[in-house]
Amino acid sequence: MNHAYNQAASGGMNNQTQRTKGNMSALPTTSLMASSGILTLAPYKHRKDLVRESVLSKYEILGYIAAGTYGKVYKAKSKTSNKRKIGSDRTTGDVHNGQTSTSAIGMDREAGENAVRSESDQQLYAIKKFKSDNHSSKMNSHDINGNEVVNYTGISQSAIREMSLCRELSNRNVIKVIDILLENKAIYMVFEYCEHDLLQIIQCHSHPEIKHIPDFTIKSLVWQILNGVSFLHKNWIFHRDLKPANIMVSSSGVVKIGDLGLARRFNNPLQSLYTGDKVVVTIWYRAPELLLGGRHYTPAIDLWAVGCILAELLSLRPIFKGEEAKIDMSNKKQVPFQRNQIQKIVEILGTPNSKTWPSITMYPEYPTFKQCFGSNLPSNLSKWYELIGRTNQKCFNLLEGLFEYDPTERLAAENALLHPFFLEPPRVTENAFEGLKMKYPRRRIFTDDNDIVSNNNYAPHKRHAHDDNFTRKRQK
Amino acid sequence: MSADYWSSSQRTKWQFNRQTLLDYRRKLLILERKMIHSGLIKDYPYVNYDWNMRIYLHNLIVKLGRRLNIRQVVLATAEVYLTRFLTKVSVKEVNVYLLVAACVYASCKIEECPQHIRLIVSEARSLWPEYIPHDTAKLAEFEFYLLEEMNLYLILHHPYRSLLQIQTFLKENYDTYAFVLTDDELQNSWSLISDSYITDLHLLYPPHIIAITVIYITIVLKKNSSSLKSNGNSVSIGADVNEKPQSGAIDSQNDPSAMEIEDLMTLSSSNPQEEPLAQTVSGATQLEVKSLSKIDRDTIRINKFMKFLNHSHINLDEVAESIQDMVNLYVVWNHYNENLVKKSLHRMLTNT
Repeated sequence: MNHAYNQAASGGMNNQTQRTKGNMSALPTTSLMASSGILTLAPYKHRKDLVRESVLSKYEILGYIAAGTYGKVYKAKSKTSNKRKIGSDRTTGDVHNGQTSTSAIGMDREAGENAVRSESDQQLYAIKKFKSDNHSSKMNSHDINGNEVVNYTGISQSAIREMSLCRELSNRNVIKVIDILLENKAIYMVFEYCEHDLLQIIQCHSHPEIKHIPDFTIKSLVWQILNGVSFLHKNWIFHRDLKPANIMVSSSGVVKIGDLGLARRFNNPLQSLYTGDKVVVTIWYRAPELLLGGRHYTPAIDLWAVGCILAELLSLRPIFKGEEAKIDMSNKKQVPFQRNQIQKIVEILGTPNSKTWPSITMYPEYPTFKQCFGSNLPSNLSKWYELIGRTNQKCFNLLEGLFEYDPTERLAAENALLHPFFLEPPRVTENAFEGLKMKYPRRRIFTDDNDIVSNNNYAPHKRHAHDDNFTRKRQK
Repeated sequence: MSADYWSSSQRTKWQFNRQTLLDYRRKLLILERKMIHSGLIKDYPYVNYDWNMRIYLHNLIVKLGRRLNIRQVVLATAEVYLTRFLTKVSVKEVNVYLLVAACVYASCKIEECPQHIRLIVSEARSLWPEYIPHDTAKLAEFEFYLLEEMNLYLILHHPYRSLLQIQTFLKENYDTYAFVLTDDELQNSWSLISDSYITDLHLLYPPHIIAITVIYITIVLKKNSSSLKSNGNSVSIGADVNEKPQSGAIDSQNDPSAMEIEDLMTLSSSNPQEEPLAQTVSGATQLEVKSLSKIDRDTIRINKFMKFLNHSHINLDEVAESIQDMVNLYVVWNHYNENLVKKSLHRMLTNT
């Protein structure tokens, strides 16, 4: 069984055949069940539950990495050797990745990555355990001993999105799901493990004293982010929650875009994007068309967020650090006007108007915007760039392209990959850490709570700023 | 991949060939026997995953979908989930009513038009009060098992889109093929696709093969288009079931699908070219000979469509097999006995 399941990602039909066989050989022969139990699937459930593999039988939990509203992420080690499987996955998976502009890197990326990929990374995983849906607290009861009895609640839209999209996607710069386990009313998504993320890297450079991230490192990181975003967009998916905390980096300097919990397909939506999710993207990274109440937005919202990430890599702090106006709990349908966030943007990029952004007048919040931001401020972006001590003009030009107010004029991911910044020397390296003197510490893990299977451990622990960002309320 | 069928999990993880599908079903029968033998389930000889059951399940999904007022594509996804699930699980060991509700519940989420679980339960309960538990946790629980059986491969590519793509292509290349589908033909093809979910086609072939199949059936049957009016049989049968749930076999006099079935049967017998479709198309002359004897508008249209097919590099063997499956469906549909399934299921689920 174990063997068969391990091949799940590459085995296809063959694997399924083996699973079925396994089920049969493990068929229960003892208990007699009342046939009326069939109404609630008792015979079927019994058969399945007997052969289901436990997450703990496959993985050893090393500690937890972060906790958030979605649940908790654990660092884990495989109990059986999966090396061979990962190798075959990579070769089969990346055949289809359809990247553009590989010429910008111009070498066999596959071979390169495998060569630098460290041994230890291969056996490590990040296991994301989803918390059951929001109304669980109301529905859950307690058993005789006072332990919480968790009931099944529907799988959250966010978990469904992340699972279904991750199952289809295969790109070097998008996090790869290795396995998904459903066990005891909980969902475990097993991801490849990434030692770093951009939030941690940025913090590493800003504490205790400011040490700029070199241009060539930024170039590689941003190119890889754009490559992943371009791949998502070509597959008609937008991410809708790009921010430093969601950009993972492996120990070999490969960017992996993570957390697809807000991502969705946007081709041919059956209902408006707004109906599905009233608010998307964490406030500091939210594009102006969203802040103005746009309901039929485009993949350009992700490029704005990439712009914010680029700016943050350059200056080591969020460029538009606005304060979020909270949703009025008595009137949840009303999405508040994010005046302060728009203020922060206008201060640096100037006031948008119908000349620079012809469709701006069509946005629902335009009248409010007009009222609040009457004066016509010029752009201060070049001054900002100077002030943070940066000089590369092509990089500035890329930033400008990503910060285009008009979403139809904003750089698209595919075009951004061919931006002169990436074409001028030094060449984009496929290991972002190449030539970097700085050594980033390993991800901190907390070992006081390794109990992945119990259902009582969801209180988000605020440990340090890193966690804090993870627990920052998901904008939904 | 999400944008592309060829690298999708639908093709790489969930596409069978006829032999592997047959093997799966055989294994399932063995499993069923074992479970009966060990007393885990009782044997209800009339509860089988046969055509009767398939049409019945299809109608259940359509009914629930109509109550919830959800889109065709969402129902299509639910139907594929159902078919996939039943390649691994016996109808004798589950409550198919709850299964239908779980498939619809999950597909609403995956197609980005989520419905509240309480709404699904209450609508399903109003249709089938004796089989749907009031407790929403039961439905949520089944969703877990359903997704687990599918190994969490959930995104689907449907022939509806292929159909529209083919139509767009034909419009853009009108100069070459001088052929596009009329609105009626498009509509008819659309409803044939909806019927195709009763069959195994979606486990066997890529969506474009199924789209070509329904176009072929529509075009070749053009002269009987009056009996193929939009939403022809699926809606009428659904409606029939809705109005007179007690009635047994559908009265073939009033059933437009019966007419169509006859057309299809005459078609397959009188048209020797139909079977080896690849032959027909490659030897286009054969058709021209035929058109000499009976040159009418329809024949010319068929001819033009054949020209397109010939140029398309579409696997015509697969199209031919798939046409055969659709024809079989309409033949068995003529003998559909709703009451038999319904009563057998009732006996099984209430343990009487």
